[in-house]
Amino acid sequence: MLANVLVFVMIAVVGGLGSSWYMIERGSALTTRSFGPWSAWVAAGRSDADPYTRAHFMRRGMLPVSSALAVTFEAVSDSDGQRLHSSCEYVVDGDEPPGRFWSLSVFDENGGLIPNPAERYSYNSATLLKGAGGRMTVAIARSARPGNWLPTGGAGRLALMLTVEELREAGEGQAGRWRPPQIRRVTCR
Amino acid sequence: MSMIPRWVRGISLYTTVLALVAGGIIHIMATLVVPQLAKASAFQRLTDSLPLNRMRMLPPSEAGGQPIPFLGPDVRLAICRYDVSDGAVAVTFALPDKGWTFGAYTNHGDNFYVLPAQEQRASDITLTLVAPGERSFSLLTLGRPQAVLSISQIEVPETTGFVVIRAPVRGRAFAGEIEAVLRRAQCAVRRGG
Repeated sequence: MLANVLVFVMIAVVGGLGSSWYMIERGSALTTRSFGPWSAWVAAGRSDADPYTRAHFMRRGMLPVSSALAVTFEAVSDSDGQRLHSSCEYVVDGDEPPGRFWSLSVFDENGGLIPNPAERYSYNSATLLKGAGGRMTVAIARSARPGNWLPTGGAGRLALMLTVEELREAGEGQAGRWRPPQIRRVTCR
Repeated sequence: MSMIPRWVRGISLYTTVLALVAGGIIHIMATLVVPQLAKASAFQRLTDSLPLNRMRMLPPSEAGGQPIPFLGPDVRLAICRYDVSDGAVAVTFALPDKGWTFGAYTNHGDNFYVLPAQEQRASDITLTLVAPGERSFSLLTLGRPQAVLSISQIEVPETTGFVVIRAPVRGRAFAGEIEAVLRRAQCAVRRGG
């Protein structure tokens, strides 16, 4: 009898609530597309968004732009799957996104911009110092780094957002080949 | 004989099936109820801070002064919290460059209308938000294609919600120009109409 009650509670309550939380927080193959550490909600900001997508953005207090117009990639871990944290230093490295306009921002885990004396919170297609062949390389670190540098202070867990506008309009070939950049961990304190 | 522990063998198939069904129901209920309970949603925050039927340009995002979580400094927003219960609401704005968008949302975050900037479009746009079931067809527009009517008049699914004009900020040099365009945007109850 006790075993039946325990199994019922585990499957019904823990399983039901846990699977709901996971699909709202992390998404699934039905609602997100993953590219290495980056994931994008397919129906973000659209009128035909599924309940998981709607709940994800409502719970996080976000105001997403329609995924028909811009794609937002979010990363909370590096390319090796380790959680992004301000005690570590990272390099975001890859081809520049093909859209007309893109921006890369770093936030704390609650979506807050991280205070820093340089008042630098993001780079975009106009402000990034581009490398050879249109390559984007951005250091994510607590202390100043040469080139493109986004300060992380003592924010704790981090989230990176890469928004690419008109990714689909950028041309099937180019947009189809492009992949979000890698996030390499350089060192941790 | 069996390797399965005795307590596991005591679990009935009926209990397992019933738990799976109950788990599915709890999963669906929890997923659907989250948007209703999300007090921290962007729309809840804006409801508390924005006047009705007035367009407001939000301040630029900076540390400690973000109007909405996960909103970077590369975007500026002008938002009108509308209420069409006392009449249609006219929204006038411009989308001067690619990347600018106009979006209409319900209080629950459903983005039911979106209009991107297009190069061939006239810079100033006026859209009229009308209450559910009150969409009308002006005599002046008779004979025109349906598409003309659907662009100028939007039947909102709920009487209250938000319209959002979103402008990408390509650099600090553009900030003044962007603010001037957003500040010109208007939102007001249409009198006599």
